[in-house]
Amino acid sequence: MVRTAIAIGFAAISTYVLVSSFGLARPGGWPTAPALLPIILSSGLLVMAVTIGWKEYRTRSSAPLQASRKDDRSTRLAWMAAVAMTGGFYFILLRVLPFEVAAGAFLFGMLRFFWNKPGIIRPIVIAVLIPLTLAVIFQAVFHLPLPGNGSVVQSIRDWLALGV
Amino acid sequence: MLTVAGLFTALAGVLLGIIWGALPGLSVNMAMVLLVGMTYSLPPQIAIIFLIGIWVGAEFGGAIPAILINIPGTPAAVPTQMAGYPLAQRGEGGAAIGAAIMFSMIGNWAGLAVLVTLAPLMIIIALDFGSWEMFLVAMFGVVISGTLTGKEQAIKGWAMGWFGLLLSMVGTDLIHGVERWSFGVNELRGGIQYLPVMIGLFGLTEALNALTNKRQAPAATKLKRFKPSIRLMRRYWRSALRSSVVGTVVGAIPGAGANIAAYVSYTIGERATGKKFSDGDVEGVVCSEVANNANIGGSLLPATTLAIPGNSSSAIILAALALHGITLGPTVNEDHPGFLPFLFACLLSSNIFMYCLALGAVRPSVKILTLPTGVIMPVVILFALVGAFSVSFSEFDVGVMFLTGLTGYALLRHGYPFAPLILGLILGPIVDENLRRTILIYQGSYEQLLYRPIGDLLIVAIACSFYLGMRRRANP
Repeated sequence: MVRTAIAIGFAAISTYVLVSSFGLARPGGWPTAPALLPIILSSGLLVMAVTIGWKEYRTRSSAPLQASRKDDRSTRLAWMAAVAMTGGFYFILLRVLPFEVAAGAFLFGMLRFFWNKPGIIRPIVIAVLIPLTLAVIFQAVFHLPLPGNGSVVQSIRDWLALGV
Repeated sequence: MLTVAGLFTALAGVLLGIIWGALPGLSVNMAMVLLVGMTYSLPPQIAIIFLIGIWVGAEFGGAIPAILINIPGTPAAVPTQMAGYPLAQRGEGGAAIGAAIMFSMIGNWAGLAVLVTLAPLMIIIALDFGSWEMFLVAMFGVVISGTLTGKEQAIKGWAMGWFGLLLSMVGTDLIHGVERWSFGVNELRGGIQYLPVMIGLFGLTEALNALTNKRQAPAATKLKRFKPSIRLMRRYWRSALRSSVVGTVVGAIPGAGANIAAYVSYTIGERATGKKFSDGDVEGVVCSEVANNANIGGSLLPATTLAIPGNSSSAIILAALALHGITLGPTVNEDHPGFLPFLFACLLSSNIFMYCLALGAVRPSVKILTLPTGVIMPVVILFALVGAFSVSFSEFDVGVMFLTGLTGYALLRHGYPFAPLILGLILGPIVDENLRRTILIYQGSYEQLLYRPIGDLLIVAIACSFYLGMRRRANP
């Protein structure tokens, strides 16, 4: 299903570009129109998408099911967990927490889910050390800002600078 | 280059590259693209030294797990794995590792020699290129990349190339300043930045793919003596020479990466020697390692002289240079005097460091080979987020990375290659500008285009690429 959906996606995008290209301004006429290449490209992509879609549809209806349902389910679960945790980290945690805390929580969650080792000590150690190291490298060494609602390392550096 | 900071940076880059390449599942592209953001605040020279060091180190590093644990560290190390792991099982892993170190260095020398020799010649030819030739050479890059990387269905590679070209159309048009599909979003007015897209595809997508393909932590085979010997050179010089040619030629073809070079060299090597490398043969390791390392110099040839990347890694180098305001092309010697010799020096020093560090880094690397994916990949995802943010400190870029990472996962699992998309995204503005300029110049007398021999040659090359791809589809 996903295979056909990809072809449909390509077809939809190319159709949209093709149709909307005709609405773009043409200050120097067609020869130098900004829509010229997009029209050529989207027409080509549309033909390719239809060919791929047709081929995928034919293969799907003739080929036997290869992967077991159980494998499919575990792969989907792992994918959903990884995407949910990454999305949660970026769209929620980084908006409210300092980088090191948000990254630590994200890493801890990921390690607990994907690392088949019992115990929480090792995930905690990794979840603390990696974000701290990253923060020190980016902020103290390269002087680059990090995403997130502030940074613990930066706060400590500011505090130390004020103290001096 | 010959400053303490420069040499130290090259050393650090190579060491990091070897370790990164040795970690199974972490590709050369992933290493380079995730660390580009970190080089933002560095002077451009230091940034390039660092990235070249990582590239050279990681290209060799991939051979370590391929030989010792039967898992290629990078896709280009698969042929090394096929010839090297049976040797490790027989207790000859040391000989295979020794050969990998020695011939990785020789491959790098070969690539560098080709780059040094042919770059000035290529620039002279490229200076004669008009808009028509530039348009065709860029189109050839996208088409051949789709043909070579589309595996059993070249059409999927072409579709990705076309999609990349279309994505590059977003933003303000270069000739008339007309806005195309920016939907009023400020960040889209300048076009889609290709670094966040690359980070999404090579960082997030590959990490998600590895996390969903769980595998048990592998056990490393024992490693005895592995010093590379000069006798190897005397014994395998023919294979080394042949693989050097294959590696550099494949490298110079846009979109054909080190993995294709290694496969082609391995297959030609088997035919030339009459041996079956997969039974375990040092010569198989030689063919693979020379080719995937010679690919570095080869791929930099079109990247430096035509601004057309030979593979994804050289595309990342171009992107990193663009981040620092340096654009390459036929006028590189006028625009950035001394850049080419500097690049040669980077490759030279990285190669020497690679050889020296490999001798010391192989044994410690064996210890980290067994790190499970469940530990490495969450850290990679964290790096991808931070890396995308560091490109221009914009949350929009992180969103682009996230979106391309998720889309890329679906595309990767269904056989859609990324190289043509990246190439299309980079070459799109060149294609657009030169096509319209050609039409403007030759308006009303298009037949004159047929009297341009380089253009005719490129048209034939594009037609051949399409034909090869379609023929493969017809006879899978």
